Amino acid sequence: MILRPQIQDARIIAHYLGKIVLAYGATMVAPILVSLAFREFVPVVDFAIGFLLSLCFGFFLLNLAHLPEATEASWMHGMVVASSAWLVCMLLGAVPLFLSGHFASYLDACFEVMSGLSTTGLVLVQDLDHISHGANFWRHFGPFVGGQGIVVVALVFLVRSGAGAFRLYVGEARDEKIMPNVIETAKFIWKVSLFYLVVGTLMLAVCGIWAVGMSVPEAFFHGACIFMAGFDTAGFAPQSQNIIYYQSFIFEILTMITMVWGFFNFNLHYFIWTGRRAELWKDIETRTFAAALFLAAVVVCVGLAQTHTYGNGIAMVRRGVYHVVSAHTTTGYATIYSPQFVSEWSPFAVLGIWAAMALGGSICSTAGGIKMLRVGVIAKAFREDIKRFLTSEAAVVTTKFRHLRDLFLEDKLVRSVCLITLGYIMVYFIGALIGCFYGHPFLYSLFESTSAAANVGLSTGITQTSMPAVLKVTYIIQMWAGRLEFVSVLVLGGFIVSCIRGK
Amino acid sequence: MKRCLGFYLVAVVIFLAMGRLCHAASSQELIAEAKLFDGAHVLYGGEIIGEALRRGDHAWINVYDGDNAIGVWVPTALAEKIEHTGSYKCSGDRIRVHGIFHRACPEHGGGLDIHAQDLLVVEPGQPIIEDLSSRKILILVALLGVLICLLTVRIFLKKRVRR
Repeated sequence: MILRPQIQDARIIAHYLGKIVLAYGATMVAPILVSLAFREFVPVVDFAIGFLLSLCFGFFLLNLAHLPEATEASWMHGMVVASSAWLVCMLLGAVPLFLSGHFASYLDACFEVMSGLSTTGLVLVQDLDHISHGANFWRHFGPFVGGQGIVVVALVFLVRSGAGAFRLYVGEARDEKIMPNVIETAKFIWKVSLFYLVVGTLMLAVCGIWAVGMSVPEAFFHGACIFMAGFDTAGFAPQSQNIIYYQSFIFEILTMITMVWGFFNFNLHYFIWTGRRAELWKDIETRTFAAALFLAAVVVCVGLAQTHTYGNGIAMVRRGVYHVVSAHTTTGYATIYSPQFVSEWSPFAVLGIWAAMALGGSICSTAGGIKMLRVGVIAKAFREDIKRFLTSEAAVVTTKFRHLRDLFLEDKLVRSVCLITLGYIMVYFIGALIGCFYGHPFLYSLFESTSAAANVGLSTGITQTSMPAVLKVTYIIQMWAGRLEFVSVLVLGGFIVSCIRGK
Repeated sequence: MKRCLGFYLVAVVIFLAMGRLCHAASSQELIAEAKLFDGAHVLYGGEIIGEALRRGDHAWINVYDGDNAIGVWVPTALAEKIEHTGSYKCSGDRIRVHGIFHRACPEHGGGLDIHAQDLLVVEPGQPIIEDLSSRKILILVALLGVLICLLTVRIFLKKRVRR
């Protein structure tokens, strides 16, 4: 029998949701400041509307809940709050973008915001090259907020420490704490990210001035935007040509470093910060990533060599490897135009990029996809089973691997890993089938669907303003579910069903 | 003035003549049928967006024709004709470029680009004046009012709990 949630459940959800909405609304101050710095006044009004709307909605929810601060959230509350917060933030964050006049519909603005928050990077913005600095900054700030986690923002400023805070944190697909206290973990994530943002912006701005030939203010603006979208593996860029705009090999190298840096688990960043750099290479995720990256690069380069897409080997490696890194870290930066995947790259090379996208980045990072830990665990499980067949029946076969600490491969772990992997594969294929329904070839539909669900952002050209609304909604759901790794989304679904059918 | 007009007239005539000798192509055609145009003389036009990125005796300009922007590699002497580049506050100069199209440029690491041989500013760019709608101000004021009401309710509820 399904139990209908009580009023108290709704109040707890409204309470935490209200806090998250307030924290998210506060982040709209950043684009207001950017707009003022560039003396753009209409965007100030657009973002002020978004800011006030968020505050109104946040306080409305808090008043509605009217709960004491000490009220703890259960697992169900944590999951429902985390998943619904992403939808509410998408709706609120889309308001200033829609008001900018650069979106054909409010749905397109929602798509762009979800693409940013989930660190995907698929775009529906129109006339991007004439958008205000404020709105453009907001596009890139979305991945920075969503990559670290919307809930993580609220945890730093507005939520008291406790079991409830941890449940909210887990609801956002972060099941690994860096510090014993979840609030301290959230603070560490933000401290590290802000430090990297300063260093990364400086690095890209200097390159922008000396190697690319940009003016100083634009170099800093582009540096900050590219770093936020690169480190948070989103793949947005301030100009419509993405990375092609910069026409610079050094700039490409720096964006590749940024993407790989963003790929790593925040726990590994913690080890680097505390001087335990050896952990970086010992970890199963790093090793799996290195192997998968190499294999994908070989596949893509063979595919490109087959069709002589590029005149010389250097150009082939430059374009091929860049897109493999971009796909594998689930960033989505591109140095070719989307239709070129279809018109110039061989299906074998596209398949290599698809595989890299599908496998994805690290657990507890800003990257999406199946994730390297799961791929590594599945590979270890296969090896263990083969070993079991080759040794005597009496022998006890165990497998150890290193992920932050030494761990033994257990059936329970393999089962949960396989379930989530299966979930991802199913979502990739469901999106591909919907794409096929609208007349797109299967491989390119699968590519686009995987790009959305694995939060990558590379496109074969299917994603555009003129695509059907059903496909836009499908990709929004894929981006959202992919970022939250399904569990909290499924719990939200269960919660809605129990509200309707429960007794 | 007469000299200037004469110069423009000659330039336009040369470009019209070039149009007959080389392919006038859109960005969509160039990207989708890059193999067909590879190495060909093309005539490509649009608005300059972003900044002119100077690299020694050449510069990169990105020209947007309404569908996509394509990088054009121009000698500095030609780049100096550009006065406005497209941004939020300004529409860029609309230009027409004659040059060689590269599907995978060997000089620039396999990128798709055009190496310009000539450039004509068809229409100079202009500043864009911001237009603030009064409806937005009205919404802003209304939201401020709602927020004040909600904050008052919140303070009242908190005080009631304390009592």
